Amino acid sequence: MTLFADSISGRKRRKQIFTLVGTLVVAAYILAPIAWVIVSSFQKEVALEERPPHFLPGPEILTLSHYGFIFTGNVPKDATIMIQAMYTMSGTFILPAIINSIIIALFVTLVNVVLGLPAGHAFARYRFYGNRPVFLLLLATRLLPAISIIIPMYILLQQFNLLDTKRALVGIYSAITLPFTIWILKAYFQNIPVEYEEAARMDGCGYFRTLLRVVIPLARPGIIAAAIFAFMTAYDEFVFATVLTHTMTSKTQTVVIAALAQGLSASRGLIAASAVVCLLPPVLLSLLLRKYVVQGLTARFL
Amino acid sequence: MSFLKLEGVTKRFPGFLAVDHLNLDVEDGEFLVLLGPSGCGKTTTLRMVAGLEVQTKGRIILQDKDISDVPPERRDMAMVFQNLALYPHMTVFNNIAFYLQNIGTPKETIRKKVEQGAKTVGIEELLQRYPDQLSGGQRQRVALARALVRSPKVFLLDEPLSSLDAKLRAGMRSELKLLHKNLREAGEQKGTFIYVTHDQVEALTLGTRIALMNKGALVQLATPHDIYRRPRNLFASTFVGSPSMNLIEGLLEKADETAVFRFQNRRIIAGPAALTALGRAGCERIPAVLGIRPESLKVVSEEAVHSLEAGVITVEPLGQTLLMNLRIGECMLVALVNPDLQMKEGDSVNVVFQPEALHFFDPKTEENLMRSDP
Repeated sequence: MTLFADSISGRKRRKQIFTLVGTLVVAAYILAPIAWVIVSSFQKEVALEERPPHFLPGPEILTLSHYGFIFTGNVPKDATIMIQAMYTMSGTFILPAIINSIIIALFVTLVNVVLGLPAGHAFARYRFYGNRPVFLLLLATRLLPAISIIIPMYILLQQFNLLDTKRALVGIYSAITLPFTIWILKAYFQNIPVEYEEAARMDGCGYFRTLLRVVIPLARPGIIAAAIFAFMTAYDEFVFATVLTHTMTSKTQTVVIAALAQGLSASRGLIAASAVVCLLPPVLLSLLLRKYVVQGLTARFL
Repeated sequence: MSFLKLEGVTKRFPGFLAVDHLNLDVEDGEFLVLLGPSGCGKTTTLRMVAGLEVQTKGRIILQDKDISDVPPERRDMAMVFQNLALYPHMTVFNNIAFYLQNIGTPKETIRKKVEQGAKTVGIEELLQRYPDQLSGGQRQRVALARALVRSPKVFLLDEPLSSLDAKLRAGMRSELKLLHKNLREAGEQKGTFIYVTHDQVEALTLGTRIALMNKGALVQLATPHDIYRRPRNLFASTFVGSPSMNLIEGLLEKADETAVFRFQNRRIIAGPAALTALGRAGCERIPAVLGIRPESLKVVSEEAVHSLEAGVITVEPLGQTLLMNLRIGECMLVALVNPDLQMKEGDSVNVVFQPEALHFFDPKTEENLMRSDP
């Protein structure tokens, strides 16, 4: 292990140990709740009621019945009547809700890339009247808390007959994520020497061809990072979704998970298992594209 | 009729005038060097010719057609950038082929042309590599090949050698010159080059003509020989040539059948050519700045006719020549002399100013007083 290699001086080694310990503490702080959710999702409901909780459960209290309910709708037979009653309808809605969330998030991502790319490029490359003020105004919209516009937004969507539609959420989430996307992409484009684009112009490329053949390939890590960010934001959003959706045509996973916890009796195991299932798509996505996220987000900003 | 013509081209950036009313004629097949200090507008001029900048005023005319509004991708010009700008995500082959691909050339033709272009600059075996796997010199060649395969109307080069180390630069310089010569002789494509540099050695060695620029304006447009031998003004005289021309302030006056230059109680025979300058001014005596190139100063140990006594301050052997810092009265002069001369610091020597090697400038307008053309 290089960390403890003999060649490193004692002082340097101590510094590295501190860094390691610090990293572990922060990681534990962030990951511990998630770990507990995962552990609970595999425990029988009765075990979850017990105090102290089983942080390292034995085989006798482990079960897959929560996941079974989510994927098949079968209420665990071995549970008491009272616990069976805690399995609400919402549990079976998790999968359709995740699909809703993914569809919405994918469209938001698409809108972000299609609009954010030329916008970020324009802000980065062109001197036009109002470049800076417009850009700052765009960023300033991020300062507005979502809750403050939610009532007007509701009325507006009602007028347009867009309540309880995925389209409405796609539109709102795109508006929320676009400023940040444009910001990331602008910063990324500014890090790419303009000569590549000029060389492309000299090599016979018009605007769109330059974008397609030179700018996009060179900015790929930045574009992917921005796209993932937009996807995650849309996938995780709760406030707008809970107010603007009513049925399973548009309810997202955040809304359905929240619904599981309503009422006096809620199955902790079911909530935990639902949370784990909902976590899977974004986790898989970021693992798949990890390389680009790091490259894209470590670019010099502003 | 000139091939490429700049008419009153002006470029104003916010708060600063980069190019001021520039007129320039470029002939077909010539190697025109835009030379000048940084910030003189030479790169801006090149970029306006390319179409990457749009001029504030004036017209750019290529083969009798006003191309001022034509975007860069439709001007049919190739450019080699200062940082080369090879596309890092493409192989050398695709870098060179990019233009041909963009205009929809058949694949087989592209392959042939790229291979031929690569052969011309000697990089055939590198075609499948990526730019970051190449050395500086190899990248330079790829950039050249990228321009060559297009057979463009004009080659634009923006300080292409500045990223190379001194030795490589000298080698590439010779190759560029040879390339231009071959293109010219091949005939099918004349090979008109516009080359931007701040390096006067590059300008003198490469250019068929040099356009010397300063502060956004054209100072002198002439062959390298003329620029060196007959600088139009003080700026041209000092910018071109290294070490630069020696300058002495004094008075030019008539004396019998010749003219003499007086400074600090010394006199130098200025020769009959200087008489015309006096005649043009219509005076017997005018203030003037004398200029003489370091290699034109004759340094001798014995006193000679019309020689002036000078003290040797320092001696710097440069190999093929010897650089000497001299002092005549209050004046410091630089001389390049034969390295075999046995002189050392502190010696007293004699300097001969040969009349035919002298230049005279007006101290106010800074213009050369001896120019024959108006």
